[in-house]
Amino acid sequence: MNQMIGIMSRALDASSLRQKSISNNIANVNTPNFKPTKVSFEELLQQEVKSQFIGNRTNAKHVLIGETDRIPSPKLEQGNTVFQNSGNGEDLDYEMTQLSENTIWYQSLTYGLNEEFNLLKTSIRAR
Amino acid sequence: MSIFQSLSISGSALTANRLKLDVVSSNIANANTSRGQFVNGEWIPYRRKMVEVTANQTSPFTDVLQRELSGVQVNKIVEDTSPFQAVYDPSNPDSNEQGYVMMPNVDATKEMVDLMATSRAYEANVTAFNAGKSMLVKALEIGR
Repeated sequence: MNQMIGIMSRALDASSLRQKSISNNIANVNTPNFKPTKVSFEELLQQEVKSQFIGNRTNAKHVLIGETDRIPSPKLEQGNTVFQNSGNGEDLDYEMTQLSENTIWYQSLTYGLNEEFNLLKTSIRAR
Repeated sequence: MSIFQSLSISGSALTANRLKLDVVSSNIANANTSRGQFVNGEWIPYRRKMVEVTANQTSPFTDVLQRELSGVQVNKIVEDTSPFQAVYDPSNPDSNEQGYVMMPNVDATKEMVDLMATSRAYEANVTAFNAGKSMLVKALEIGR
């Protein structure tokens, strides 16, 4: 339960950073030699989940091996493509689709987070 | 990194694009101005102006550390150094001995293309601004 809230709030961080990155890219659509940035989070989370090496425990008192509750933080990456004649590396259509996708993703995350909190509320009030 | 940063990023681009629109309007308005500047006792035509923009970035070091993204800024307004057009009009008071008048180096087609590109960029930034705003409003609903 707690882990879920942690992951979702980190995903909200990623979405908010992605919004900044996309609006910065759109702001610089006509800037010569500008290279757009992108935010990676999902891949990092996947890696963290998949590459976990978990030690076998036969007793509850054994030390945890590999099993961490580490959630990766979103990372900002600089692209180096050239798309326009001015040396600018930006595709405006791609940025606009990313923008609406990110907004909807953010809204579904807040919805999911609210549902988690509602579950907690229900169990606290026991009704 | 502030929560309202995405709005200020879009805001900086709106400012830059509005300035660009002002410069384009000035160019179109002065497309036939044969007396633009008074230099050394004689009139020279209006010169076409252009806007130079750069990504508003801090040093690469803070860029890596704080993931700073801060939009776009206008560096300066530069003048187009291409030659003026000579138009044959002997009755014009500004004509020279051969009957030619020097006219500004403004190309209406170029200005219209700039105008459209700038207004589309402005619209894209308004969309980004609205998207960021709706996300902030949604964030207020967490835990309601």
